[in-house]
Amino acid sequence: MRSRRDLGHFSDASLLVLSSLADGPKHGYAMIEDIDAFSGTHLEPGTLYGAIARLERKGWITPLPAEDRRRPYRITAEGAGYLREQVATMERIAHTGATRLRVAERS
Amino acid sequence: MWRVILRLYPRAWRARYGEEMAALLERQPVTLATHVDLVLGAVDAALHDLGREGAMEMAERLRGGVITVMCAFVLFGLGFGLLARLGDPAPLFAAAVARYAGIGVLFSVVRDAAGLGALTLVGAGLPILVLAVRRAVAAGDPRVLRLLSLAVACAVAIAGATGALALWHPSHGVTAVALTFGAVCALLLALGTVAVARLVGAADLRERELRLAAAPAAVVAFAMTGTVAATGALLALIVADAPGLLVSQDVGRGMFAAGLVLMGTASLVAIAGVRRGWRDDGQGPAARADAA
Repeated sequence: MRSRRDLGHFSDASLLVLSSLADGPKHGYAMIEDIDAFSGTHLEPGTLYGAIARLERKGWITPLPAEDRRRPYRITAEGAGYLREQVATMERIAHTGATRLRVAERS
Repeated sequence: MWRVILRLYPRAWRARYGEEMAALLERQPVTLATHVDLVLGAVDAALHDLGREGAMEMAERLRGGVITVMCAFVLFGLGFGLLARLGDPAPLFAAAVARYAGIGVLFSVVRDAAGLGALTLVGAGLPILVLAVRRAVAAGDPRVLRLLSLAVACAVAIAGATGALALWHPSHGVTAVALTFGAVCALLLALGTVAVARLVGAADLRERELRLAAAPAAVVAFAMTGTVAATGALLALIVADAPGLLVSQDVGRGMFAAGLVLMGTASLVAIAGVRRGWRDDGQGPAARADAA
């Protein structure tokens, strides 16, 4: 499994960016709006582009030709694989947490 | 204020992300939190040397596209040169055109499409060359100037050899002279092409400038492909209606077949160059349009 450690403090922002790009290419502003809509997290531009630079460096997203000063990005196959792994881990954590909470409530 | 903070980011970062970040900041409300986030982002970018690879990789890919299309066109030119004798001797060709109008029409299409490709290549290539040389002069970089001198020397030598052959008209050993001339010209052409390719590779060209070559490169590849298609149709028509045109040459039909193969190969290389340089691994706008 690929580690989130090398994404440092940007791991959450990186996951949000990857999730945003999972349904198609987007430029920075569209990503901020989309992330705000699906997670309630407002990413500031400095954080967003820190995550974009790291994801691009790792080859998990790739830039597309700029459109009027705005450059869309798309998720790569490797990026999608990483996102899938992370989502599976989060689902296991959520499932375990929910199960244990139910047990605790019953006892 | 945020524009000042953007200047704190490393140069490579600004070259790669500065424009799109500015466009983003112009569209959204900028608060105190935004300013603090930008300062932290600038520190992070400087500490982790972010942005450098993205800028380099994209510029190199574009540069590779320019070089590939240019080299492909030289190969295409060689093939086209072999086909240029199709209209020679002129009276025989004129008679065939008078009898079969399709041959004349396709011959014009081949000539015009190849001409469009050549004009586009020169029109887009010259500004890039001039820019590269101006920057090399300003930076005192002798490599680019040496490569340019070599390319110009090759072009002058080819022109000189062609002129000398045209004036000479050898009466003996014509085949040996023609083969020697062809070999020398091919060597000079290869040397000149390598020099220009290395010049583009070594020149200080920005991503934005290389992106401007996208449309001309696509036009060149399109013109090359169109020429190949029209040439194939023309040769098929000649074989069917006027096969005498193919055997009336001093080299024979093998020369035309070789020309067509060279041009076809060059067109495929040019298309690959355009895809590699400007279509972003097949996921760019053109690719998405194809998929749609």
